[in-house]
Amino acid sequence: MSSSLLWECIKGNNSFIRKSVNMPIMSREPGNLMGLHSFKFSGLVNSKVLDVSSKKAGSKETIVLTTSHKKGSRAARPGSRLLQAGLKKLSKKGLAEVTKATTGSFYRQDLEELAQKKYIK
Amino acid sequence: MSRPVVSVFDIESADSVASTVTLPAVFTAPIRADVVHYVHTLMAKNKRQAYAVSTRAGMQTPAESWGTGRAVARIPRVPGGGTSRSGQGAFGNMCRGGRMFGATKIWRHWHKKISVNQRRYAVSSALAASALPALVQARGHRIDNVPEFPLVLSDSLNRVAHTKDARAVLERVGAYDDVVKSRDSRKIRVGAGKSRNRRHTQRRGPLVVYDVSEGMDKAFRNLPGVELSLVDNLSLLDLAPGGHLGRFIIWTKGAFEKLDSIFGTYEESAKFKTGFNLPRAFMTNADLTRIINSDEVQSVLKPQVTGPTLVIPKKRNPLKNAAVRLALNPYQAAVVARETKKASADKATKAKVIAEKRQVLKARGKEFAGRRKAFYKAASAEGEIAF
Repeated sequence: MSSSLLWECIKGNNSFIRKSVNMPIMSREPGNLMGLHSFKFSGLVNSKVLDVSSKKAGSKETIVLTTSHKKGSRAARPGSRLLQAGLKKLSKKGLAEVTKATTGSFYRQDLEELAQKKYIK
Repeated sequence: MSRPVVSVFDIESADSVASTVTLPAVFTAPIRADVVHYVHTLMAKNKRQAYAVSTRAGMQTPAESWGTGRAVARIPRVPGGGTSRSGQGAFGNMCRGGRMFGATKIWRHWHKKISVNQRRYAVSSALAASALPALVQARGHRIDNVPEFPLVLSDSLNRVAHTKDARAVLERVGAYDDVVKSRDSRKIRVGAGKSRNRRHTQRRGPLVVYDVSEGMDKAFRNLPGVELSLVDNLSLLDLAPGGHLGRFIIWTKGAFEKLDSIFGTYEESAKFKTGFNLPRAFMTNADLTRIINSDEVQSVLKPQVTGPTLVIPKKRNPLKNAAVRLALNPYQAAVVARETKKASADKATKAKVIAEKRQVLKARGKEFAGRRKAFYKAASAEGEIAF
């Protein structure tokens, strides 16, 4: 279904919304780059999803790039809709990887700068 | 509209696909959260039981007002004596032991009528929403391990007879996470409901929809959060609990295939709902981004209006800033040229004047030095001080 329509259903109320005083409305679904509850960043609603996050496995921490699968049919398969790829920890290489995934593939270029900033963090 | 094909999973394993079914047209019905919300709020009232205060409450006294002149308020008062009740105010809502304002009546309009077509519209919307994992996830169901949406299991599900087999099926199919969520969310209700036979609350788990049960309803009913429903009587209260779209539904193949005849398609009316046709969407293409970026729209757009191109620079003082002065007064160039020329011409004369001045100063300096010496000599000599 179209992302605009889904957003209209979800924006009022959904189980991932977290509200706190004096803060913008946050959302904790996977695939949300900024953790903000907004159409641009929503990991549920958009057909193209981008996120940079860190994942801990025991004592090891990896930086993970989450994207949505290219095939539209994957939207009907909740398990395989989001793809995770590791990013190099060396910042020059890692940033290059982020750029390649966004600008290089014409994928969510609007989020590229934010993704890079988040990677640096 | 071409309808995609949905895999029917074997209950033995989520990897094996038993067969496929075309998606019933209901799942392509427009998703109208507003209709669902409206119908749900009305429908939810239909199971209410009447409550009211007693009709006689607060009125069981022959109280009468004492009228004026007795230095008391004019509220009706209980007659008689010998008890503390006598003389107390009665009847009024403000009085202690009086009847309440607007006493609740049992003939309140508890149940709400909803037109049949609206009810069916809402159910269609709710079913369509249940096929979108985004909405089901947003509603809070744990569906990360479910292989496909909508989830359809083969008819052998009907024959599952024991709860432990039912649980195993759900685990294989990735639906058990939702059951776990429901089980773990069981808490004692906040509020007075806990002492009114509504002690616990817990989240809703998956809804299993079937057409024929050969024991499966008893197998599934004890799993926490799991609810069962026949295809024939799907209720909005189960499909959109709380008025929120996106219940996690597990279908049996028979039930899934029956949907087309129950709700109809866009080509034919519903067989089991007389006069009902699937609702049509206002917009056939709801994807705003695509519409905006389409050729048809982009080609007729006017060019984007940018801000004002006039940029007002920082003011520079022409009296100090030579470049600005020159821009304002082009003659300034000639003046400057003339003056530099004069200055260089004057240089020679100036040098002479300076040299002369230097001579004068030098001579004077010598003279003063002489005077200084003489004075010092005179002052340091013995004898009378004379200036």
